[in-house]
Amino acid sequence: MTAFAATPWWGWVILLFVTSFLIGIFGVMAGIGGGVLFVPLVGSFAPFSIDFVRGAGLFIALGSSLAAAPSLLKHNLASLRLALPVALIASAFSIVGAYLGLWLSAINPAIIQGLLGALILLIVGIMLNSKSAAVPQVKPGDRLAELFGLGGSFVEKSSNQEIYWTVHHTKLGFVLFAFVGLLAGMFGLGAGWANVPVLNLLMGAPLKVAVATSSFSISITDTTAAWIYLNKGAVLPILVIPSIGGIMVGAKIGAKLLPHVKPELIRRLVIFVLFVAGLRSLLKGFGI
Amino acid sequence: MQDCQFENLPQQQIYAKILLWGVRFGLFLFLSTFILYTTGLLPPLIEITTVTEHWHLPLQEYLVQTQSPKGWQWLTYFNQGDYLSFAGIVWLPLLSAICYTYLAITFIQSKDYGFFFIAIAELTLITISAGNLLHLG
Repeated sequence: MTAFAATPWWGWVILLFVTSFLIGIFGVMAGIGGGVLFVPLVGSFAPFSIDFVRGAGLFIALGSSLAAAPSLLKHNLASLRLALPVALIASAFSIVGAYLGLWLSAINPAIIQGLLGALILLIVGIMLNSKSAAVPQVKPGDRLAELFGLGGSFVEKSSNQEIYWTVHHTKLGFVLFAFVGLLAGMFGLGAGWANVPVLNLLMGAPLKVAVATSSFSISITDTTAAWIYLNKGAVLPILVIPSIGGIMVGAKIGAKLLPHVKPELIRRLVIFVLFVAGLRSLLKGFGI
Repeated sequence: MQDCQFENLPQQQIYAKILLWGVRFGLFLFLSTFILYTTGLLPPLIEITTVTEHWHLPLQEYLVQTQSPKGWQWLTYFNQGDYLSFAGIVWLPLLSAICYTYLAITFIQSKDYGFFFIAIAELTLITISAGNLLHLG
């Protein structure tokens, strides 16, 4: 605590910028969003209250999602058609999650810290076991998908082919998005780690569409929860602004470095860092 | 290739352009207001050292100790460096509301009632959360 107290405020601004910058680089290279790394890392190892860290986490996820969205939408990788209904459900439940998280934290911040640790360890498990399918086979005839015309097309650059896609298991997918929204609001996380498997493996969206639509939909999902944290006073500009700046610059560099690194190695490194941060958060929740 | 072929929504490209310019403007707001705040050119309502001395406290305790404004009260302190820097922060969740307003207008014009309902429902959720209309917890 003495080392924390001795650090001047501008030292924290630089530290947050550098940490978020590195998270931005490695997050992109590992294919996960920044919020899921930022909240457990900063929440476990920095002196800030977990409430402010979750508030910052939501804005980081929001900022990086908004920055990536124009290009993803322009190239038809992110689908507005698919994002609109899933983001509506997720954002409704992220409001519930935000209130639930702030309520639990008001009772005892250790509860939310411990639950965050447990969730991060669960995410590590999901990441270690997750599979993906480039273009899954989808049986047409899903009533909800047909009602909203959930599908589209994009050009696969490697083969220069136009890929047409649609989705199935839409009802179950919508239910899972409610749960994802709840967790996003509760813990201040972007939810790419959950969105992508639901969109790709369950609903059958092509992997590129699933990743891009997930990234874009976070800009809508986290909006409602972000307003709640803001209105409750859980957002500190001195924490949020350098973090968003760092992650945006880092993500751009990460995207440029991506073709030159081994993504699997980076992914394993990030999973290891997440595991350590999750464990630390869990132990902090138990007062250890 | 799938048997079903759905068109991408025509609104997608305009949505992308609104976000592109919105994010650029947001970055400008972030940078300019943060410089004004941290250099002291515009004095803050709550000194940065007071913030750093209390930021380890649980939220409610922090708000009491620092006498921080809550909700939309920050607007009344727009002439203070720390609360002016909220302009860039607030801009981010405002962007989605702007995009959804555009969507709602174009969906009703094209009589796409399903997506019009979704856009209005999302705008309602944003209004409820932004307006601090729910008092839970």
